[in-house]
Amino acid sequence: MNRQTNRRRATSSAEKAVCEILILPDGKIFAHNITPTMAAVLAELNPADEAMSRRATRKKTFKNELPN
Amino acid sequence: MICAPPEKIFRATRNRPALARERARLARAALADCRLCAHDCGVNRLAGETGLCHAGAEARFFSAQVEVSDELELMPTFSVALSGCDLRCDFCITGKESWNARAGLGFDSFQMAERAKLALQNGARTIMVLGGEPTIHLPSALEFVSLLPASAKLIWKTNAHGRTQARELLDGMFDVWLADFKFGNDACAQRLAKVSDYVRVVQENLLWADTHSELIVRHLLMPGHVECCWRPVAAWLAANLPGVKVNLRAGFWPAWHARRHGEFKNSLSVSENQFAFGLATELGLNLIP
Repeated sequence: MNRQTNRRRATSSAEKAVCEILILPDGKIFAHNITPTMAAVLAELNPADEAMSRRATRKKTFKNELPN
Repeated sequence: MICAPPEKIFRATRNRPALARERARLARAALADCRLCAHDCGVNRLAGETGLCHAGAEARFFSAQVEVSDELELMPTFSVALSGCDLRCDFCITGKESWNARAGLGFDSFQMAERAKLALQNGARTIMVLGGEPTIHLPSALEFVSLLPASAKLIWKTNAHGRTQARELLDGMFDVWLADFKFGNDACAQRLAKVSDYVRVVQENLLWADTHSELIVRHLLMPGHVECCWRPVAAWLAANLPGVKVNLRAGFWPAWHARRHGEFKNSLSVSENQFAFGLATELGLNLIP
């Protein structure tokens, strides 16, 4: 990867919201830097996950999550 | 009648913006002989020298967004991640940016404060400054604080590897210290994060933070490290910081260079997870979600 591409990637990750997800072969899902919108998606994937549901409910009280 | 002991409540000083401005000036001057973290490098970052963290005089950031990943009582938080760190954890979830102080964009305190204030208006409960490790960028972090409302609830997310100088500059600046206690012994710290004298330094920082702010201690459970790392951490917390809020995190993710270490080829097992939480209960730790 050349330096210019690296720079572009760095710029975009700093300027835009980023959430990373890892799905293991056994179906476990890991996520970090979870935005309110992503929490809602993850809560849909596993409605039994009470902790994620509580995170997802915060989306209802939060508007315009990307104050750019 | 039995009364519950009063909960400790710390509020940052009312004149925090002005104080932060002055502290930021002192912190920037300190870069001429940088001893902000326990590596105690003593390099002149203002003259272009770099120490073990490789950070220059100007901070950069690689993420700034509203998140709900953190402790329930803190979220939603507007989370600002500064590039670079003074530790070299092979399993770092943001290794690319945390190991590289030149990653991301230049940090403009004024612009970031505007974004943070807008996030607060839109419903964020807190503002969190993290890294990498924010201690190595103390001047910029304090400049940022100086531009935020005194009433904002501010979180300092740290690896707790700072020195006295950094703590003195941080006193009264953040409402909550969210501090990692990653390793329960120096051998694991050296092998996995290339840091010496880790346990003593972190314990010193945690004891200080507990008396100067609200403290939440985080420990990320690592596969194969429940006995050697979590058990001593849990025992120390129970004995020395009884009642402190502890967030025991079970979502170990084999990120960055984790695969350099055989024990990190698998994720945390169900039995390790159960044992770790059982130990916390047995020791009476105050676990928070």
